[in-house]
Amino acid sequence: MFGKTPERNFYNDFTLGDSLKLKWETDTKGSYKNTSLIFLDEIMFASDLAGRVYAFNIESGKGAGEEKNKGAVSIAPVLYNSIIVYVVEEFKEKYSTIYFYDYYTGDYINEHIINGSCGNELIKTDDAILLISENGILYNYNLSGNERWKLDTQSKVRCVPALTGDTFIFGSVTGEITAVSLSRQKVIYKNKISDRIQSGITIENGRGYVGDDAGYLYCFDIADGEVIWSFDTGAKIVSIPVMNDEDLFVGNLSGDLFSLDKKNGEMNWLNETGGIINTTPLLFSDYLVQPDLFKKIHFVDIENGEIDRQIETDGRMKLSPVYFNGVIYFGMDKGEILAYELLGGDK
Amino acid sequence: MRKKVLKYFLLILFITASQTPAQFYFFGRNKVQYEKFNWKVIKTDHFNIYYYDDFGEIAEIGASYAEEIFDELKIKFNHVVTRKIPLVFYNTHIHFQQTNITPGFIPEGVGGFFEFLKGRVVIPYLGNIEQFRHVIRHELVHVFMTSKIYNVLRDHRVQTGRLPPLWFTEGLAEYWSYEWDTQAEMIMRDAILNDNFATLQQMIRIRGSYLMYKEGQIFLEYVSEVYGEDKILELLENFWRFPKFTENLEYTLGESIEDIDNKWVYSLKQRYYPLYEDKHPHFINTKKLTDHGYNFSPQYCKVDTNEFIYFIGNHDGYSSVYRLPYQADSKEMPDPEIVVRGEKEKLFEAFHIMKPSITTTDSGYVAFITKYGGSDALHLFSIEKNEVINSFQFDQLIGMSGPSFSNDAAKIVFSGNDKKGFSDIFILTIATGELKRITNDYYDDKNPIFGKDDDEIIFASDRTEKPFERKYNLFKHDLETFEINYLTFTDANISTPQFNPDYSELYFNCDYDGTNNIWKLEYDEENKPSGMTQYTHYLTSVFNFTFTDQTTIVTSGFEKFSFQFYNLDLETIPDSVKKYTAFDFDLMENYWTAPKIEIDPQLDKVEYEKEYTLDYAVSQVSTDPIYGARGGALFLLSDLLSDDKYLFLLYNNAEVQSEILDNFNVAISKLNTAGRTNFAYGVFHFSGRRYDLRESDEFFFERSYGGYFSAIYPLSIFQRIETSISLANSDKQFFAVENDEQTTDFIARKALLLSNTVSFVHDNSLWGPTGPLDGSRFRALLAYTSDIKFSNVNYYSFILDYRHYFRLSLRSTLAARLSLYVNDGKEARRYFGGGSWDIRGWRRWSIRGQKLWVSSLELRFPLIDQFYIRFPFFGLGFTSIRGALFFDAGSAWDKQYRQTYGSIGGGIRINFLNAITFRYDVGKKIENNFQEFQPKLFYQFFFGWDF
Repeated sequence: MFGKTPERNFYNDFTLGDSLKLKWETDTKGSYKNTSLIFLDEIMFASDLAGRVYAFNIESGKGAGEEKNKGAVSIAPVLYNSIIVYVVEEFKEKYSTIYFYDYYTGDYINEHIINGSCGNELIKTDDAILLISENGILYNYNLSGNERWKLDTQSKVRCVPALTGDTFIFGSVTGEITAVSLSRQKVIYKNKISDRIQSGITIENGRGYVGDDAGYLYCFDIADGEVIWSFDTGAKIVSIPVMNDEDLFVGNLSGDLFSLDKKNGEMNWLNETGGIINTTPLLFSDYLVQPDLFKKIHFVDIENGEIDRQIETDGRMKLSPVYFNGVIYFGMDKGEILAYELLGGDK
Repeated sequence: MRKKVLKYFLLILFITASQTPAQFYFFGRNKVQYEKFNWKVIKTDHFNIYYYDDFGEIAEIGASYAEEIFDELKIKFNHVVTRKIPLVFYNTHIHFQQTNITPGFIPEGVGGFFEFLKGRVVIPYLGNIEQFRHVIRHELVHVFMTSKIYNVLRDHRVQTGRLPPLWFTEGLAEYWSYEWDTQAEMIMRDAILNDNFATLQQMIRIRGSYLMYKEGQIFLEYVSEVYGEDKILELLENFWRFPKFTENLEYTLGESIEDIDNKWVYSLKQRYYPLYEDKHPHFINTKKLTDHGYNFSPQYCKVDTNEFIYFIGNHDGYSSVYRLPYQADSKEMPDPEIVVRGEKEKLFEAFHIMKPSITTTDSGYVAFITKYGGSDALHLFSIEKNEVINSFQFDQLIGMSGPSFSNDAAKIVFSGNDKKGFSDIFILTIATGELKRITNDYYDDKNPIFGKDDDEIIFASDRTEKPFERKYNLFKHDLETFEINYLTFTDANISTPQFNPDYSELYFNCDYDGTNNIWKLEYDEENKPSGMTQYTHYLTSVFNFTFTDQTTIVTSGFEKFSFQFYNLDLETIPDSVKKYTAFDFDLMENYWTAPKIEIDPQLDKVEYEKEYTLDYAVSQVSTDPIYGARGGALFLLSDLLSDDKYLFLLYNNAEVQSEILDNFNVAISKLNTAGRTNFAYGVFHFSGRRYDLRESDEFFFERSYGGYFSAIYPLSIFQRIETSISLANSDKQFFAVENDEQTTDFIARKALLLSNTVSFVHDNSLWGPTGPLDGSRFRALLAYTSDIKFSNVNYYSFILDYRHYFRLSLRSTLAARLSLYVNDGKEARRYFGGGSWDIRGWRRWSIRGQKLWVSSLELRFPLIDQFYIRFPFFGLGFTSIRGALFFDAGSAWDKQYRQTYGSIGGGIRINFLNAITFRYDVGKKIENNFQEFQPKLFYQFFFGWDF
């Protein structure tokens, strides 16, 4: 799933090293939103805004199959066993559809109509698939694709949610942090901390972190949604902050990259890249790998914030990069996917 | 009103030289390039800024704004434009009108444009830095929006080339570029309170108007307030999902379009209806002096015992200087008369109607400003002689506005725009023509007047210090000490200061309460300015005003989307409604300065070099009964400023494989429009089977190759000289019928044709929906074509075509035409007539001859203003359906005049989307050498503009 875990974790606890080599390039027919690729065994799964879900061989980059739908698949699918779950925002319709597709048999095992758009990433647990629509309806499906229950949270949601234990947490366009108990199927709290949140939440050790439209990054207590600290980055944040054991890293639409002390929100460094940061980066123990919509990939030294090297690309960087089996995968507009092999580091 | 521009005539005519009958030529006004600009480029991170000559300082300020705005917009749109955006700056609107980036005419009210083909943004500087910033921002919103929409559609693999409706596009550009201002408020108040408002579902009714811009802007403000600012970006990001924008609106805002509309309109009524409590329309407590047309800048003038209001107005499509008899006590409303007719001759080429541009003096003179050639001119008109007695133009000035006489009428002070783009104060001494500059900086100084003793100038300027920086306040410039001091200091915009006749009081326009009203300057015990008192409380703006006596003024007020004059006695305004606002000069901090871009002059400022890119490319396969089947391609390349163009035409009309090589057609042309003389030259090779209308029953194969050169020199916007020369080798093969033997023979004709033409064209016509309504058009052409090698061809051509339009009323005219076409000599081509475009009722192009004459008289009038049919699922509407009654006569012959053809009848014309006019005529032919009417009626349907 997007961010590997329900808490949304983008950290790889090893060094990236100095050397990358382009392994292969491939492309899909449509472009992407700021989502990511999903991997299972030797297969990479991608979804695009032209309504297709693809499977690629990760060694060669060659296509292994695709499913076409009329609409857009703007969020990352989730995988379990041989089932791929994805959501299609239907063309010319005011609803979306969630599909459960068995890619071994080529059959759809289930599908459900969802009113409105679904641009918020899915969460997979051991026994459930969770989806919150933009209308604020939280859906719980079992792994057979049957709807167990749904809950109207009375919110408008354009935020990547996160899950810790039994608590499902998201931000709303009215600036509230809402927590839902999955077992009790009810809203535990709604705490207004901002005017508008349209980014994503990451959770660690009982704390949640989220950025808002005004450019504030908040650290809040998962238990009650109360703000522990906040930091003003100066411009709208739409990506999810990433963190290691001590520090937290976030970028905003003005192209500014920040490193903050996770405990108290004090700034370690700032890098004004001049670009536009709307994609969640990938963090290693030595580098922050940050795609820039302005056709670049920055490799930022996490100690001092300096850009150690850059890759200039042909297209606007869209996907949140993913590390899998020694390779980092990037995605650009026009549907292009780049696979860079790590030659150094201590992976 | 339509105006035609003869831009690509050269290219079109000579690319298809041998295939296009020379009969189909053009009139049209001229876009004159009076200057040849010395272009330079400033390269910034995200822009290439094109400017010229002395405009560097303002260009650097504009560059700084552009980068600042780029950083803001990338956040608003969550998107970035990755290519370097070309920004083209002109130092004045007059120069802006000369741009080749758009081939069409640019009206006075256009403040800039974004050209979609090459993504160019073109902006004139109008003397005001804040307004410059607004326009840069406005156009960059277009750039970002267009790029965002294109990427959204492409990313979703939905057909690109679609854009949101114009009201949304312009509304967004206004909403994200500027705060709601006085002008916007005035427009919306008038629209809501006078029922001129269009709902979202009625926006087509006001398409393209300034009201549409403002309604779009205020709707997006409403969306932000009620639904959330994020919804605006969401509308763009959802654009792929629904083909209709209303469906997108409904989906994104979560309500039906009817509900959105109703709630929005209700919110506007809630906002504006309460204004009636303490504000009123212009007609309250005043006498209305005009009731039609557009009337600006009233200036009172008393000569002997006669009192007049002189003004700039537009009552018939041409802006002119008018005079209205001033009869304050009379209940009659006399019609104004034209004093100086504008926009028909080059001396008074155009009026800047929205700016103050006229002044009078009681010694019997009127001074007014018009565009004349490449810059503005200040004209002095003698009331006694009833003529313009002097005109002033200055090398260093391009634009002028706001003239005002000194008390002794020996001088005129005005605001002038120089080549740096600065808007400063100048004084002209009339007798000597000497020009003195009073201010010299980038602050916008305007509306100057002389003080009581002619030793000081009072003017409005945006040099106001912080905290009210960039607001227009009044300043006083001492002509002896050169000191500039504040008269007002307030957080509002002040303009058009006017003293009362004895100079005891100073009044002015101020938008302190949201719209322009009349205020008076107040002084303290030490005779220093202390504050201002509001006198009028109109709902919508006063634009200008003039005193007719100590306490009476004539105002130009905006109401019901028109500008009319009102007579107001200031003494009738009760003290209870006068509001006093004090100035606090202690708040002053320091003068504001405009930021400039930081660049390396060596690397980032370069001379302009032409780089050619593709404007368009088209390929197609077509077939027609005259030229047969053909397939080919057309490419047009031009440089960034579109001063230089290259056209490549390639096609083949072979019908079998073996003919391919023989039927290749290629033409390469270059067209240059950078300077005043536009010229084109090129080479061509045309080959293939032809059926030539200009012959009879002749079907032949011709191979023609050669070159040409042509030039157009505009004498003014209304007149030009055209000339061309071409040399072409022509090999013709055809079957000629031997009538007496009833046999055919194969004939080959070779010729080396040298053709020369020279023409004079005049066009000052004013267009209505389907054709000209006023003015005249004229073309005289002389040409000579000769076979200089084989003497097989040798003829001269003469064309005289005169059309005059006698205006009968605002929308009616009597149109008259007299045309004579002559080709005489060896192998002279034929002309052809007949059909809806000339001698109606007769079969199209059936009247042929080497000599042709056509005469027409046509009465054109409005028939149906609006016609709308509502079907269950859609509606169909037409506006401005016009009628015509006509009489045509003409003939064509080779050697011997045969007969005269004619017709009479009536018809209707419908303009469809301003792209084409459909014509339907019914009548009777006059047959048998003009002796009898045809027994029945003819019915003829075709397309085309009125002659």
